[in-house]
Order: sequence, then C-alpha cells, then structure tokens
Amino acid sequence: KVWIKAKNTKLLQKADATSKVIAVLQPGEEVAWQSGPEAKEFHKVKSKKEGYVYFANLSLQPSEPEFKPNGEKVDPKVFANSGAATKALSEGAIAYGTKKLSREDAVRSVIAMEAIAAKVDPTQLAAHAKSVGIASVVGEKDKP
Amino acid sequence: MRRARTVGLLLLGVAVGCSAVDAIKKGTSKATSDINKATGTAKENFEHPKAPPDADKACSKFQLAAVSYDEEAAFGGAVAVNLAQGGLEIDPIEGKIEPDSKKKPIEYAVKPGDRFDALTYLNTVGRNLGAQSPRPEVEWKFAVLTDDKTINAVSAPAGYVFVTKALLSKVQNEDQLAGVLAHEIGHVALRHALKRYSDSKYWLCVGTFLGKKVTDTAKSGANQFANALPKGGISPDSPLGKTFGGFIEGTATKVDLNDPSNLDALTDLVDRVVRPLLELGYSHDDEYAADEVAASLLRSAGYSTAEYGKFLTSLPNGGAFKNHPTGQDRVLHLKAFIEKQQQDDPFFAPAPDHPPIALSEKLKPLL
Repeated sequence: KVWIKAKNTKLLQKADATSKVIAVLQPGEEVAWQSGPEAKEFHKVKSKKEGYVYFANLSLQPSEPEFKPNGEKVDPKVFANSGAATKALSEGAIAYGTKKLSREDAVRSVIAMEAIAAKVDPTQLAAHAKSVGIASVVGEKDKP
Repeated sequence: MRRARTVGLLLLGVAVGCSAVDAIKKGTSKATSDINKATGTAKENFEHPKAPPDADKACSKFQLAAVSYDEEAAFGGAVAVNLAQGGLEIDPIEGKIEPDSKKKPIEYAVKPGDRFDALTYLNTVGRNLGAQSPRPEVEWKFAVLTDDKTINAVSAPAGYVFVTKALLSKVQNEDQLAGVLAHEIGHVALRHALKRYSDSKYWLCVGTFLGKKVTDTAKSGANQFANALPKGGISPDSPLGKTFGGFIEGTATKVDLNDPSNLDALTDLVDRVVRPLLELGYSHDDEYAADEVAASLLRSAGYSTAEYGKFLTSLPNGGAFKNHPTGQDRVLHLKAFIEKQQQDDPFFAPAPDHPPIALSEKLKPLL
C-alpha cells in the first residue's frame, strides 16, 4: 500500500497526463499500488476506482498527522474540511503583538501576509507549474 | 521602537523553536516571566540538568503530548508577529486590526501593488511545495523580511515562512528559491519548533511545581536551577504560576493561548523559543532532516537539488553558527540522502532535465 501525498491528486483513466480525470484524491488516502518499480511516470493504483497517478503524487509513508485539542489524530480530509488551518491570526497573537510588543504594525503585516497567501489557490499553482515547465503535481481543483 | 537586526550571521535554515531550558546559564528574560533565561552551551545538544523526579513525573506529559493545530496556530502566529518586528516587505492597510467580516482578508488587510504581486509569486512557489509536503493541509504563508544585510530564512509553527531581502537578492533562480523555502517547510513539517515549545511548557510546569511544593529552597531542590529559576521556583501567584498551576494535576497539556489570562505565558514561551534559537540555531540533526525534506520536495515539484546545493555552498561562512553544519557538510549529506532515496524509493523523482527556472520578473520590487 502507498499513500497519496499531494493535494488534488488526479486519478487518470490512462497513463497519460492528458487523459481523463476519473477522480481527485487527497493527501492521507491509502491506495493499493498495482504497478511495479519499473513503472515510470504514471503508476497504476486502486482506491475506490482504478486508475493512474503521477508518481510524485505518491508516497511510501502517509502524511504527518494533525491533532485535535484532546491529542487525537485528525483524518487529513476531516482536517482539511474543518477550516482549522485557514483561520485568521489568533486573538492571542494579536494581543501579544499589540499589548506586549506594542507593535500593531507587525500584527498588521502578518495579517496581510496571511491574506496574500490565502489568495493563492491550487488553480494558480497548477498554472505556474505549467508556465515554467514543471509537472502540475498539485491539481487545479478538488473534483474531476 | 523597531528591533534592530543585530544578528549578522548566516542563519539559513533556522526555524524558530529552541527551548530556553537547553543548558542553564545566566540570562534575563524580557517577558514578565519570573524564570531567568537559559541559553545553550553544548555544540550539538543543549545540556540541562534533570528536573527532580516528582516534578518530572507531573510535567513530562508536555513533552509526550502532541500539540493540536489550534494551539500550534496561536503560538506560531505570535512567533510570526515577533519575527515581523524587524519589518516585512508588505503593504498592510491601515486601520482597525479586527477583521471585517463583510470583506475577504485580501480586501481589508493588504494594498495591491508591486510588492503584492511579488509576494503572490513567492507564495505560489512556496505553497506549491507546501501542498506536496508531509503536512499538505497546513496553510503555508510566505513573506519577506526587510533585512537587506543578512542572508537568512526563518519559519514559525503553523506554516509561517520568512526570507530576508538579502536572501532573495542572493538566489539565482527559482530552483534555489524553492530549495530555501522547502527547507523551512521541512522544519515546520517535522515540528522542530513545536518540540521546543513543548519543552518550554515542560520547564514552566517544573518551575511551577517547585514553586508550589515547598517554600524552603533547600528541600525543593530548586537550588540546582539557581540560574534558571528564582528561589523556590515560579510563584503560584504569578501569572505564569496561575497558568501552569492548573496543569500539575491531571493529564491536560493544552494551554489556551487565546485566553487573556495566559498572555504572560504566551509572551514567555515566544521569548524563550525565539531568543535562544537566534543565538544558537538548530541542531545538526534537525538541519539535516529539514534538508532531506527539502530534497524530496524539490524533486517532487520538478526543481533541481543541485541548484539548492550550489546555493548552500555559495553562502559566506556557511557554518557561521558554531552549532550549524557548514554548507559543504549539508551538500554531502544531501548527496548521500538523494543516492539512498533513488535506490530505495520508487517515487523519488530523478533530477530534472531542464535548465534552472528563471525567477519571475514580478520579484524585482523585492530585490
């Protein structure tokens, strides 16, 4: 068994980057590896469906876990859907910056940093990869 | 007052996270903490005396428990604010800091313009790597520190990555830039900073335990920590004592860093993590581990690890930190790792067959 490594991993009908996308898989998903080490760019795998995945999207290890407040591991998909990662700068960090450091400017800068990052979505990542000639390991969207 | 960037050393690959309890020396803390600051002395490992067995038993849970993402985000955000004191190459919108719920952050937080476009490019390169990393669901965020003298990159928990303006001017292509970003992603993905954070909570707990136990310092054993703890440990009536006093019993380890009553604890934790790290850097093992993540990410994304190696060896005083591996050592380690991965891992990408990718023109306003 191997694991899906990258966000928006395309499960392709054929071993070809231009082939039809039959599913989009997410990190942490375990799949059955049906190719051998001799496979080159595209490896045959089976999750709920059977298809081909670009080799750089696969890993021999699962992603690092994320954790709930009680210490339990969170399923990567559940974590991704929870919105936990995309919350704005915390109240504690804002209070630290404004009350302890007296540096509202630093707080504003970090909020601005977060805003710019949040705007860069997978569509832009895939477009940039294509424009500079590297593989779009991260797919444009989370659905076929 | 702006904090001057006095660290003129190469800190490449340094991510925030060293525990202040690494080796006890005299020091002072800017925070309201009543624990004196400790700094490291050992070349590789940071020496510190063992806590008394009963204190260790009560507090070791902090070192064993995983840190939840929301606690990581609160701590990482505070560290990011600390690091941003030196100035970021960014144009935030003036006005109230509280978010405007009717607007998206991009509308109320930052002004458009050349620096916006440059940072968008930086985040495109970085977030592409992050989405393929061992922690792909972290919200990865990248920014540029205004420091145009020190070639440096730092990171904070929850995915904050900073490079200096000096570093941006030094990288020759997108592959080298990706290498630097991937290394910092490695530190965050491997939770190097959070281990230091957990260690710091452990020692604050120990200090509080000693403070609650007895008032007689000879009996409490606090004397051996004379340089790190005040006599008798942390006073249970102090802000830190009140925060950590509640953790001595039971199994809870999560500190609510958004609770105003824990603001002193947050301040102390940030201080004891950031300050020793900037002075000492990370251990060799942590640096090599981050480089291994970087190598895997670079190959996965289609970038050249050779270009990253070139960048490492081009840096002046690659081993400016006495604790830091030299650029040459790091390249040797990288090569050995890559060779092994190519043999053992069928998904480890071969070296790309295209020339190095040019940096985007959009980056120019930041150079």
